[in-house]
Amino acid sequence: MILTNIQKEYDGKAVLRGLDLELKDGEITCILGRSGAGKTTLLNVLAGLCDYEGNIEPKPSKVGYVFQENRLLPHLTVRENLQFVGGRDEMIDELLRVVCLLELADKKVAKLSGGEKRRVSVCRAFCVEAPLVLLDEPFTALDSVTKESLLALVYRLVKEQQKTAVMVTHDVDEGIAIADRVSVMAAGKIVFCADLPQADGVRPYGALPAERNELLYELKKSVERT
Amino acid sequence: MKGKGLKNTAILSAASVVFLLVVWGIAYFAIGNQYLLPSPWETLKAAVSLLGTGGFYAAFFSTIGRAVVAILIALIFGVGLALVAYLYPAFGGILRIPVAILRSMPTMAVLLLILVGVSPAIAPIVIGVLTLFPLLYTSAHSALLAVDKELLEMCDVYRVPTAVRIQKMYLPCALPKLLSEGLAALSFSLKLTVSAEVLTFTYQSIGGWIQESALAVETSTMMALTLLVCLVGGAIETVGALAFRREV
Repeated sequence: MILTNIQKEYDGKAVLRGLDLELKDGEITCILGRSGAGKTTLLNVLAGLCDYEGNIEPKPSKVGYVFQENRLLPHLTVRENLQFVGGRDEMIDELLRVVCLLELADKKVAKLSGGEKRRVSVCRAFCVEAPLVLLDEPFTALDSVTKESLLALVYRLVKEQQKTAVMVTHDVDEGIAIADRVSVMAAGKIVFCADLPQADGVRPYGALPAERNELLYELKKSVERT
Repeated sequence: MKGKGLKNTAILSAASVVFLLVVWGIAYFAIGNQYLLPSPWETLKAAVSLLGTGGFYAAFFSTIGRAVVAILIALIFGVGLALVAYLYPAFGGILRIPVAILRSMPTMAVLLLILVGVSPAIAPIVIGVLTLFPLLYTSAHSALLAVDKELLEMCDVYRVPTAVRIQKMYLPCALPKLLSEGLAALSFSLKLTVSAEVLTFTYQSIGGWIQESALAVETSTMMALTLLVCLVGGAIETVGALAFRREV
Protein backbone atom coordinates (compact mmCIF):
# COMPACT_ATOMS: atom_id res chain seq x y z
CA MET A 1 0.00 0.00 0.00
CA ILE A 2 1.43 3.34 -1.02
CA LEU A 3 0.40 6.65 0.51
CA THR A 4 1.32 9.65 -1.60
CA ASN A 5 1.14 13.32 -0.64
CA ILE A 6 -1.48 12.81 2.08
CA GLN A 7 -2.80 16.11 3.43
CA LYS A 8 -5.31 16.74 6.15
CA GLU A 9 -6.44 19.93 7.87
CA TYR A 10 -8.49 20.46 11.00
CA ASP A 11 -10.02 23.93 11.46
CA GLY A 12 -7.56 25.44 9.00
CA LYS A 13 -4.55 23.89 10.72
CA ALA A 14 -2.51 21.40 8.67
CA VAL A 15 -2.04 18.11 10.52
CA LEU A 16 -0.74 15.98 7.65
CA ARG A 17 1.42 17.92 5.22
CA GLY A 18 2.10 15.86 2.14
CA LEU A 19 2.91 12.59 3.88
CA ASP A 20 4.44 9.77 1.84
CA LEU A 21 4.59 6.23 3.18
CA GLU A 22 4.95 2.70 1.86
CA LEU A 23 3.41 -0.22 3.71
CA LYS A 24 4.63 -3.66 2.69
CA ASP A 25 2.27 -6.63 2.80
CA GLY A 26 2.71 -8.84 5.83
CA GLU A 27 4.97 -6.34 7.59
CA ILE A 28 4.62 -4.37 10.77
CA THR A 29 5.39 -0.69 10.26
CA CYS A 30 5.92 1.31 13.39
CA ILE A 31 5.38 5.06 13.30
CA LEU A 32 7.22 6.95 16.01
CA GLY A 33 6.70 10.57 16.87
CA ARG A 34 5.99 13.01 19.66
CA SER A 35 2.46 14.02 20.60
CA GLY A 36 0.89 16.25 17.98
CA ALA A 37 2.93 14.84 15.09
CA GLY A 38 -0.25 13.59 13.37
CA LYS A 39 0.16 9.87 14.04
CA THR A 40 -3.44 9.21 15.11
CA THR A 41 -4.70 11.34 12.21
CA LEU A 42 -2.72 9.12 9.86
CA LEU A 43 -4.40 6.05 11.34
CA ASN A 44 -7.82 7.71 11.06
CA VAL A 45 -7.14 8.43 7.39
CA LEU A 46 -6.25 4.78 6.81
CA ALA A 47 -9.36 3.69 8.74
CA GLY A 48 -11.61 5.89 6.62
CA LEU A 49 -12.67 7.97 9.61
CA CYS A 50 -11.84 11.27 7.96
CA ASP A 51 -11.46 12.63 4.48
CA TYR A 52 -8.12 13.73 3.16
CA GLU A 53 -6.29 14.89 0.06
CA GLY A 54 -3.76 12.73 -1.65
CA ASN A 55 -3.62 9.19 -2.86
CA ILE A 56 -3.75 5.77 -1.20
CA GLU A 57 -3.25 2.74 -3.48
CA PRO A 58 -4.89 0.38 -2.99
CA LYS A 59 -7.51 1.89 -0.71
CA PRO A 60 -8.05 -0.29 2.37
CA SER A 61 -11.43 -2.05 2.07
CA LYS A 62 -11.70 -2.88 5.72
CA VAL A 63 -9.41 -2.48 8.70
CA GLY A 64 -8.99 -3.82 12.19
CA TYR A 65 -8.22 -1.12 14.72
CA VAL A 66 -6.77 -1.38 18.20
CA PHE A 67 -7.67 2.01 19.66
CA GLN A 68 -5.77 3.73 22.40
CA GLU A 69 -8.83 3.29 24.60
CA ASN A 70 -10.44 -0.13 24.43
CA ARG A 71 -13.81 1.11 23.10
CA LEU A 72 -15.55 -2.14 24.04
CA LEU A 73 -19.28 -2.38 24.81
CA PRO A 74 -19.36 -3.03 28.58
CA HIS A 75 -22.84 -4.54 28.65
CA LEU A 76 -21.89 -7.24 26.11
CA THR A 77 -19.81 -10.34 26.78
CA VAL A 78 -16.37 -10.88 25.30
CA ARG A 79 -17.79 -13.09 22.56
CA GLU A 80 -20.62 -10.66 21.82
CA ASN A 81 -18.16 -7.79 21.44
CA LEU A 82 -16.32 -9.74 18.77
CA GLN A 83 -19.54 -10.82 17.08
CA PHE A 84 -20.68 -7.17 17.13
CA VAL A 85 -17.99 -6.24 14.60
CA GLY A 86 -18.75 -9.22 12.38
CA GLY A 87 -16.28 -11.77 13.67
CA ARG A 88 -17.05 -15.37 12.70
CA ASP A 89 -17.59 -17.83 15.55
CA GLU A 90 -14.76 -20.20 14.54
CA MET A 91 -12.31 -17.32 14.25
CA ILE A 92 -13.49 -15.86 17.56
CA ASP A 93 -13.00 -19.16 19.42
CA GLU A 94 -9.54 -19.64 17.94
CA LEU A 95 -8.44 -16.11 18.81
CA LEU A 96 -9.79 -16.32 22.34
CA ARG A 97 -7.92 -19.58 22.79
CA VAL A 98 -4.70 -17.96 21.58
CA VAL A 99 -5.06 -15.05 24.00
CA CYS A 100 -6.15 -17.37 26.83
CA LEU A 101 -9.57 -15.75 27.17
CA LEU A 102 -11.73 -18.67 26.01
CA GLU A 103 -12.90 -19.32 29.56
CA LEU A 104 -14.02 -15.69 29.86
CA ALA A 105 -15.83 -15.66 26.51
CA ASP A 106 -19.25 -15.38 28.13
CA LYS A 107 -18.25 -12.88 30.77
CA LYS A 108 -19.40 -9.29 30.48
CA VAL A 109 -16.57 -7.00 29.45
CA ALA A 110 -17.33 -4.61 32.30
CA LYS A 111 -16.11 -7.27 34.73
CA LEU A 112 -12.71 -7.81 33.08
CA SER A 113 -9.38 -6.42 34.22
CA GLY A 114 -7.56 -3.76 32.22
CA GLY A 115 -5.16 -6.25 30.69
CA GLU A 116 -7.98 -8.63 29.73
CA LYS A 117 -9.93 -5.82 28.08
CA ARG A 118 -6.86 -4.86 26.09
CA ARG A 119 -6.52 -8.47 24.89
CA VAL A 120 -10.17 -8.44 23.81
CA SER A 121 -9.53 -5.21 21.93
CA VAL A 122 -6.59 -6.83 20.13
CA CYS A 123 -8.70 -9.91 19.34
CA ARG A 124 -11.38 -7.70 17.87
CA ALA A 125 -8.92 -6.18 15.42
CA PHE A 126 -7.88 -9.62 14.22
CA CYS A 127 -11.25 -11.38 14.16
CA VAL A 128 -12.48 -9.45 11.11
CA GLU A 129 -11.51 -10.21 7.53
CA ALA A 130 -9.35 -7.12 7.06
CA PRO A 131 -5.94 -7.07 5.39
CA LEU A 132 -4.83 -4.02 7.37
CA VAL A 133 -4.56 -3.69 11.14
CA LEU A 134 -4.02 -0.34 12.84
CA LEU A 135 -2.73 0.00 16.38
CA ASP A 136 -2.81 3.35 18.14
CA GLU A 137 -0.43 3.30 21.10
CA PRO A 138 -1.87 -0.08 22.09
CA PHE A 139 0.41 -0.71 25.04
CA THR A 140 0.10 2.61 26.85
CA ALA A 141 -0.60 2.41 30.57
CA LEU A 142 0.07 -1.33 30.72
CA ASP A 143 2.48 -2.94 33.14
CA SER A 144 5.65 -4.38 31.61
CA VAL A 145 4.59 -8.03 31.92
CA THR A 146 1.24 -7.41 30.19
CA LYS A 147 2.95 -5.26 27.57
CA GLU A 148 5.48 -7.98 26.80
CA SER A 149 2.78 -10.63 26.36
CA LEU A 150 0.67 -8.34 24.18
CA LEU A 151 3.64 -7.44 21.99
CA ALA A 152 4.23 -11.14 21.39
CA LEU A 153 0.53 -11.67 20.73
CA VAL A 154 0.30 -8.87 18.17
CA TYR A 155 3.44 -10.08 16.41
CA ARG A 156 2.16 -13.63 16.27
CA LEU A 157 -1.30 -12.68 14.99
CA VAL A 158 0.05 -10.36 12.29
CA LYS A 159 2.47 -12.97 11.01
CA GLU A 160 0.09 -15.95 11.23
CA GLN A 161 -2.75 -14.10 9.52
CA GLN A 162 -0.33 -12.42 7.08
CA LYS A 163 -1.78 -9.00 7.70
CA THR A 164 -0.22 -5.61 7.19
CA ALA A 165 0.04 -3.68 10.42
CA VAL A 166 0.67 -0.05 11.24
CA MET A 167 1.48 0.66 14.85
CA VAL A 168 1.77 4.13 16.23
CA THR A 169 3.75 4.73 19.40
CA HIS A 170 6.07 7.15 21.10
CA ASP A 171 8.03 4.29 22.69
CA VAL A 172 11.11 3.37 20.66
CA ASP A 173 11.50 0.03 22.44
CA GLU A 174 8.03 -1.10 21.37
CA GLY A 175 8.95 -0.35 17.79
CA ILE A 176 12.28 -2.17 18.04
CA ALA A 177 10.51 -5.17 19.61
CA ILE A 178 8.16 -6.06 16.75
CA ALA A 179 8.51 -3.78 13.75
CA ASP A 180 9.91 -4.73 10.36
CA ARG A 181 10.18 -1.08 9.46
CA VAL A 182 10.26 2.02 11.61
CA SER A 183 9.36 5.54 10.52
CA VAL A 184 9.67 8.81 12.42
CA MET A 185 6.89 11.30 11.94
CA ALA A 186 7.10 15.00 12.68
CA ALA A 187 4.91 17.96 11.77
CA GLY A 188 2.62 15.86 9.59
CA LYS A 189 5.35 14.20 7.53
CA ILE A 190 7.55 11.12 7.57
CA VAL A 191 11.05 12.48 8.21
CA PHE A 192 12.94 9.24 8.63
CA CYS A 193 12.45 5.61 7.64
CA ALA A 194 14.51 2.49 8.32
CA ASP A 195 14.11 -1.23 7.72
CA LEU A 196 15.06 -3.35 10.70
CA PRO A 197 16.90 -6.66 10.34
CA GLN A 198 14.56 -9.64 10.00
CA ALA A 199 13.68 -11.42 13.22
CA ASP A 200 12.02 -14.76 14.02
CA GLY A 201 9.91 -13.29 16.76
CA VAL A 202 9.71 -10.41 19.17
CA ARG A 203 13.11 -8.87 19.70
CA PRO A 204 14.21 -8.75 23.33
CA TYR A 205 14.63 -5.49 25.20
CA GLY A 206 17.98 -3.97 24.35
CA ALA A 207 18.19 -5.53 20.90
CA LEU A 208 19.54 -3.53 17.95
CA PRO A 209 21.24 -0.84 20.03
CA ALA A 210 22.64 0.95 16.98
CA GLU A 211 19.23 1.21 15.35
CA ARG A 212 17.72 2.24 18.66
CA ASN A 213 20.20 5.07 19.09
CA GLU A 214 19.61 6.23 15.55
CA LEU A 215 15.85 6.32 16.14
CA LEU A 216 16.25 8.23 19.37
CA TYR A 217 18.48 10.73 17.58
CA GLU A 218 15.94 11.15 14.77
CA LEU A 219 13.13 11.59 17.29
CA LYS A 220 15.08 14.24 19.13
CA LYS A 221 15.85 15.98 15.86
CA SER A 222 12.16 15.89 14.90
CA VAL A 223 11.22 17.57 18.17
CA GLU A 224 13.78 20.31 17.62
CA ARG A 225 12.57 20.69 14.04
CA THR A 226 9.03 21.42 15.19
CA MET B 1 -23.36 0.82 56.50
CA LYS B 2 -25.94 0.29 53.75
CA GLY B 3 -28.39 -1.21 56.27
CA LYS B 4 -27.88 1.73 58.60
CA GLY B 5 -28.60 4.14 55.73
CA LEU B 6 -31.85 2.37 54.87
CA LYS B 7 -32.83 2.27 58.54
CA ASN B 8 -32.25 6.02 58.86
CA THR B 9 -34.32 6.65 55.72
CA ALA B 10 -37.18 4.55 57.11
CA ILE B 11 -37.09 6.40 60.43
CA LEU B 12 -37.05 9.79 58.71
CA SER B 13 -39.91 8.74 56.41
CA ALA B 14 -41.98 7.59 59.37
CA ALA B 15 -41.25 10.86 61.16
CA SER B 16 -42.31 12.76 58.06
CA VAL B 17 -45.64 10.89 57.92
CA VAL B 18 -46.28 11.55 61.61
CA PHE B 19 -45.45 15.22 61.07
CA LEU B 20 -47.93 15.44 58.18
CA LEU B 21 -50.66 13.77 60.26
CA VAL B 22 -50.07 16.19 63.11
CA VAL B 23 -50.26 19.18 60.73
CA TRP B 24 -53.41 17.72 59.19
CA GLY B 25 -54.96 17.27 62.62
CA ILE B 26 -54.12 20.82 63.65
CA ALA B 27 -55.54 22.17 60.38
CA TYR B 28 -58.73 20.10 60.86
CA PHE B 29 -59.31 21.56 64.32
CA ALA B 30 -58.39 25.07 63.15
CA ILE B 31 -60.86 24.97 60.22
CA GLY B 32 -63.50 23.11 62.22
CA ASN B 33 -65.56 22.07 59.18
CA GLN B 34 -65.41 18.43 58.06
CA TYR B 35 -66.84 19.33 54.64
CA LEU B 36 -63.87 21.58 53.97
CA LEU B 37 -61.24 19.34 55.53
CA PRO B 38 -62.11 15.94 57.00
CA SER B 39 -60.13 14.58 59.92
CA PRO B 40 -57.43 11.93 59.43
CA TRP B 41 -59.61 9.48 61.30
CA GLU B 42 -62.68 10.03 59.06
CA THR B 43 -60.48 9.73 56.01
CA LEU B 44 -59.03 6.47 57.25
CA LYS B 45 -62.53 5.12 57.90
CA ALA B 46 -63.56 6.14 54.38
CA ALA B 47 -60.45 4.45 52.94
CA VAL B 48 -61.16 1.20 54.79
CA SER B 49 -64.73 1.33 53.55
CA LEU B 50 -63.55 1.83 49.97
CA LEU B 51 -61.14 -1.07 50.19
CA GLY B 52 -64.03 -3.27 51.26
CA THR B 53 -66.10 -2.30 48.21
CA GLY B 54 -65.96 -4.59 45.16
CA GLY B 55 -66.61 -1.76 42.71
CA PHE B 56 -63.57 0.12 43.99
CA TYR B 57 -61.13 -2.48 42.68
CA ALA B 58 -62.73 -2.48 39.23
CA ALA B 59 -62.37 1.31 39.14
CA PHE B 60 -58.84 1.19 40.57
CA PHE B 61 -57.48 -1.32 38.06
CA SER B 62 -59.34 0.39 35.25
CA THR B 63 -57.51 3.63 36.10
CA ILE B 64 -54.16 1.87 36.46
CA GLY B 65 -54.81 0.17 33.12
CA ARG B 66 -55.40 3.51 31.41
CA ALA B 67 -52.23 4.96 32.92
CA VAL B 68 -50.18 1.95 31.77
CA VAL B 69 -51.66 1.99 28.26
CA ALA B 70 -50.94 5.72 27.96
CA ILE B 71 -47.35 5.35 28.99
CA LEU B 72 -46.75 2.29 26.80
CA ILE B 73 -48.05 4.09 23.72
CA ALA B 74 -46.05 7.21 24.62
CA LEU B 75 -42.93 5.07 25.19
CA ILE B 76 -43.21 3.22 21.89
CA PHE B 77 -43.73 6.40 19.90
CA GLY B 78 -41.25 8.38 22.00
CA VAL B 79 -38.40 5.89 21.65
CA GLY B 80 -39.22 5.00 18.06
CA LEU B 81 -39.34 8.58 16.84
CA ALA B 82 -36.30 9.51 18.94
CA LEU B 83 -34.35 6.76 17.16
CA VAL B 84 -35.45 8.02 13.76
CA ALA B 85 -34.61 11.60 14.76
CA TYR B 86 -31.18 10.47 15.95
CA LEU B 87 -30.42 8.60 12.75
CA TYR B 88 -31.94 11.31 10.53
CA PRO B 89 -31.33 14.71 12.14
CA ALA B 90 -33.47 16.46 9.51
CA PHE B 91 -36.47 14.50 10.79
CA GLY B 92 -35.52 15.53 14.31
CA GLY B 93 -35.54 19.12 13.14
CA ILE B 94 -39.04 18.73 11.74
CA LEU B 95 -40.25 17.23 15.02
CA ARG B 96 -38.82 19.99 17.18
CA ILE B 97 -41.76 22.38 16.94
CA PRO B 98 -44.57 19.80 17.33
CA VAL B 99 -42.79 18.37 20.39
CA ALA B 100 -42.38 21.87 21.85
CA ILE B 101 -46.09 22.57 21.28
CA LEU B 102 -47.10 19.30 22.94
CA ARG B 103 -44.80 20.04 25.86
CA SER B 104 -46.36 23.44 26.52
CA MET B 105 -50.01 22.75 25.74
CA PRO B 106 -52.57 23.41 28.53
CA THR B 107 -53.49 19.79 29.28
CA MET B 108 -56.99 20.17 30.67
CA ALA B 109 -58.05 22.63 27.98
CA VAL B 110 -56.94 20.19 25.32
CA LEU B 111 -58.80 17.43 27.14
CA LEU B 112 -62.06 19.33 26.73
CA LEU B 113 -61.31 19.69 23.01
CA ILE B 114 -60.55 15.98 22.70
CA LEU B 115 -63.87 15.09 24.38
CA VAL B 116 -65.69 16.40 21.32
CA GLY B 117 -64.56 13.39 19.31
CA VAL B 118 -63.39 10.84 21.87
CA SER B 119 -65.28 8.93 24.55
CA PRO B 120 -64.67 9.73 28.26
CA ALA B 121 -63.16 6.26 28.66
CA ILE B 122 -60.48 6.90 26.03
CA ALA B 123 -59.90 10.63 26.53
CA PRO B 124 -57.66 10.18 29.63
CA ILE B 125 -55.45 7.80 27.63
CA VAL B 126 -55.19 10.26 24.73
CA ILE B 127 -54.28 13.14 27.03
CA GLY B 128 -51.77 10.91 28.80
CA VAL B 129 -50.10 10.03 25.51
CA LEU B 130 -50.02 13.65 24.34
CA THR B 131 -48.47 14.81 27.61
CA LEU B 132 -46.00 11.96 28.12
CA PHE B 133 -44.80 11.60 24.54
CA PRO B 134 -42.71 14.83 24.46
CA LEU B 135 -41.10 13.95 27.80
CA LEU B 136 -40.17 10.43 26.76
CA TYR B 137 -39.14 11.49 23.25
CA THR B 138 -36.80 14.16 24.62
CA SER B 139 -35.41 11.77 27.20
CA ALA B 140 -34.80 9.01 24.64
CA HIS B 141 -33.27 11.42 22.15
CA SER B 142 -30.86 12.88 24.67
CA ALA B 143 -29.95 9.37 25.87
CA LEU B 144 -29.08 8.42 22.29
CA LEU B 145 -27.07 11.61 21.80
CA ALA B 146 -25.13 10.75 24.94
CA VAL B 147 -23.84 7.49 23.45
CA ASP B 148 -20.06 7.62 23.57
CA LYS B 149 -18.69 9.18 20.38
CA GLU B 150 -15.68 6.87 20.55
CA LEU B 151 -17.98 3.86 20.36
CA LEU B 152 -19.63 5.39 17.31
CA GLU B 153 -16.23 5.77 15.69
CA MET B 154 -15.46 2.14 16.47
CA CYS B 155 -18.73 1.17 14.74
CA ASP B 156 -17.77 3.26 11.70
CA VAL B 157 -14.32 1.67 11.49
CA TYR B 158 -15.72 -1.86 11.68
CA ARG B 159 -18.68 -0.96 9.43
CA VAL B 160 -21.21 -2.29 11.92
CA PRO B 161 -24.68 -2.34 10.27
CA THR B 162 -27.25 0.15 11.60
CA ALA B 163 -29.67 -2.57 12.72
CA VAL B 164 -26.94 -4.18 14.84
CA ARG B 165 -25.98 -0.79 16.30
CA ILE B 166 -29.59 -0.11 17.27
CA GLN B 167 -30.12 -3.53 18.84
CA LYS B 168 -26.77 -4.01 20.57
CA MET B 169 -25.56 -0.50 21.29
CA TYR B 170 -28.05 2.37 21.09
CA LEU B 171 -30.93 0.75 22.91
CA PRO B 172 -28.88 -0.91 25.69
CA CYS B 173 -26.90 2.30 26.25
CA ALA B 174 -30.08 4.37 26.43
CA LEU B 175 -32.05 1.79 28.44
CA PRO B 176 -31.02 2.71 32.01
CA LYS B 177 -32.00 6.34 31.57
CA LEU B 178 -35.21 5.34 29.75
CA LEU B 179 -36.26 2.92 32.47
CA SER B 180 -35.58 5.47 35.17
CA GLU B 181 -37.53 8.18 33.34
CA GLY B 182 -40.21 5.68 32.37
CA LEU B 183 -40.95 4.79 35.98
CA ALA B 184 -41.14 8.46 36.94
CA ALA B 185 -43.41 8.98 33.95
CA LEU B 186 -45.65 6.10 35.09
CA SER B 187 -46.28 7.88 38.37
CA PHE B 188 -47.01 11.09 36.47
CA SER B 189 -49.23 9.18 34.05
CA LEU B 190 -51.31 7.93 36.96
CA LYS B 191 -51.88 11.44 38.30
CA LEU B 192 -52.66 12.71 34.81
CA THR B 193 -55.10 9.88 34.16
CA VAL B 194 -56.97 10.47 37.42
CA SER B 195 -57.14 14.23 36.76
CA ALA B 196 -58.52 13.61 33.28
CA GLU B 197 -61.04 11.08 34.63
CA VAL B 198 -62.29 13.66 37.14
CA LEU B 199 -62.85 16.18 34.37
CA THR B 200 -64.45 13.71 31.96
CA PHE B 201 -66.40 11.88 34.67
CA THR B 202 -65.16 8.58 33.30
CA TYR B 203 -67.34 5.66 34.27
CA GLN B 204 -65.73 3.03 36.54
CA SER B 205 -62.60 4.99 37.34
CA ILE B 206 -60.91 6.51 40.37
CA GLY B 207 -61.34 9.95 38.87
CA GLY B 208 -65.04 9.27 38.26
CA TRP B 209 -65.44 8.17 41.89
CA ILE B 210 -63.68 11.35 43.07
CA GLN B 211 -66.09 13.42 40.99
CA GLU B 212 -69.11 11.51 42.41
CA SER B 213 -67.86 12.03 45.95
CA ALA B 214 -67.44 15.74 45.26
CA LEU B 215 -71.01 16.00 43.97
CA ALA B 216 -72.28 14.13 47.06
CA VAL B 217 -70.07 16.34 49.29
CA GLU B 218 -68.44 13.20 50.70
CA THR B 219 -65.20 15.00 51.40
CA SER B 220 -63.67 12.19 53.44
CA THR B 221 -64.19 9.73 50.57
CA MET B 222 -62.67 12.25 48.14
CA MET B 223 -59.70 12.67 50.44
CA ALA B 224 -59.31 8.91 50.84
CA LEU B 225 -59.35 8.32 47.09
CA THR B 226 -56.83 11.10 46.53
CA LEU B 227 -54.52 9.72 49.20
CA LEU B 228 -54.76 6.22 47.75
CA VAL B 229 -53.66 7.57 44.35
CA CYS B 230 -50.78 9.41 46.05
CA LEU B 231 -49.78 6.21 47.84
CA VAL B 232 -49.73 4.19 44.61
CA GLY B 233 -47.78 6.92 42.80
CA GLY B 234 -45.31 7.10 45.67
CA ALA B 235 -44.93 3.32 45.69
CA ILE B 236 -44.12 3.30 41.95
CA GLU B 237 -41.48 5.99 42.44
CA THR B 238 -39.99 4.18 45.43
CA VAL B 239 -39.79 0.87 43.55
CA GLY B 240 -38.11 2.68 40.68
CA ALA B 241 -35.61 4.41 42.95
CA LEU B 242 -34.76 1.13 44.71
CA ALA B 243 -34.48 -0.80 41.44
CA PHE B 244 -32.08 1.69 39.99
CA ARG B 245 -29.99 1.96 43.10
CA ARG B 246 -29.54 -1.83 42.86
CA GLU B 247 -28.95 -1.74 39.10
CA VAL B 248 -26.19 0.88 39.45
